[in-house]
Amino acid sequence: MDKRTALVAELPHLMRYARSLTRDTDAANDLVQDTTARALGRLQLFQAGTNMRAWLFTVMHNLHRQNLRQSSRRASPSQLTEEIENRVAAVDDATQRLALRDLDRAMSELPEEQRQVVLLIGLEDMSYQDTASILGIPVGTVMSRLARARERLRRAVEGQNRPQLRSVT
Amino acid sequence: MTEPEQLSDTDLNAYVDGELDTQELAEIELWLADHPQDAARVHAYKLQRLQLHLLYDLPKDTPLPAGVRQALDNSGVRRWLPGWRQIAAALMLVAVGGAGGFWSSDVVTQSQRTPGSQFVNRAINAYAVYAYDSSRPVEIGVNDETDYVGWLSDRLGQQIRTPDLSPAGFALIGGRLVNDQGEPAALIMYENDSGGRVTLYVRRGTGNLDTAFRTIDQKHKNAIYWSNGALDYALAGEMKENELKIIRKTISQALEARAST
Repeated sequence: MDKRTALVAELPHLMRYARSLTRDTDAANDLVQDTTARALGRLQLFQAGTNMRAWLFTVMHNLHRQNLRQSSRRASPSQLTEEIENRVAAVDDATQRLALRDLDRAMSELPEEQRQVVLLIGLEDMSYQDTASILGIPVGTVMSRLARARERLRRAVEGQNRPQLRSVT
Repeated sequence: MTEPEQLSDTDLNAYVDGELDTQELAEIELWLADHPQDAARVHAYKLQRLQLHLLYDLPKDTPLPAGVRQALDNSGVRRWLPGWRQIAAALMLVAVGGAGGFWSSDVVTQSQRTPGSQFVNRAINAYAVYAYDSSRPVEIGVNDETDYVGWLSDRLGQQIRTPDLSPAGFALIGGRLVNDQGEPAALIMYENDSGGRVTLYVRRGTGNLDTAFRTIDQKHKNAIYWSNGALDYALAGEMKENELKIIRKTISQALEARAST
């Protein structure tokens, strides 16, 4: 009962991460469903006292990798895009709205391997070490992907705020 | 000693993500004070972290997808009601009402079933249920118009205070009423910059605890509990024991400072 309850308590994190990773509500729901089923089936393998959230993210990533291999499901503009757009539109400050839109667009354009690292660390608060083990890559690779991604996102957001210098001829 | 030529991207990011030890932290802060361009990048990266939450946090009361509910049902649990809040409520009943709870087996093996161990166990369960709830960790937020400290105090039948934990880097986010074996208890929640949370579980003094500070170590989750006679306290958090002790000291100082004014 105890491990299972801990698993249920992590479901909101799995949902948030799956949505922001796949950028597709249906695909995210499927992924969380598969992850839940697989994790429940392997719950006895989970070591009590270790990080349940990191373990679930690892299970999810393995499934996600398999999905990508099996089909080339493309993220299509879905409810999620609309949901994010509505949320951005509700922000009062125009500069902030622009920055959020630019950030979301830049996130969608990041190579997925960089997006994963940004989301696990920046949104889900995973440590560098946990992120490395979730993704099955060395910590050094986590750090270099993160550095590249953040700089790219920063340029995308700040670039839009600069005055337009291009001349119209 | 020569100053490095430039700050590496890795150090700069590790600073933003709280991955540095105290000495590295101090070095980088010195560096940033003299290098506004790097400081601007730090600011931009911290802002990115915040904006990711604005963009991607789940909307309140997002229902659990039908397929996920089914996966849970298929493996033999009761049907869960939709909505995180109901799930949290259901968990709370299981955790607090049931004889066990999440990590009870660990606690019981470490210390026999004393009133203190049972109390701290319930406090850790409450932490586990609510501190991870991203949509509604507290019933009444700190910005709520209601005088929630007064409200909680009324329910407890004893005036409680919310100590200022900003010296330890934690800001108050609010509180909720929880069930402590049929008696009301208050769960006060605090959060730091990186979203780490600690909870202070408070109930009317039962006379079962003494004033000594006792620590329970459950690998990732730690708790310290004590009593001042009028109130029983349990501080819980997912952090190292010495970090939690620092917060506990901050609480004692804050409560003493207010008591003497």
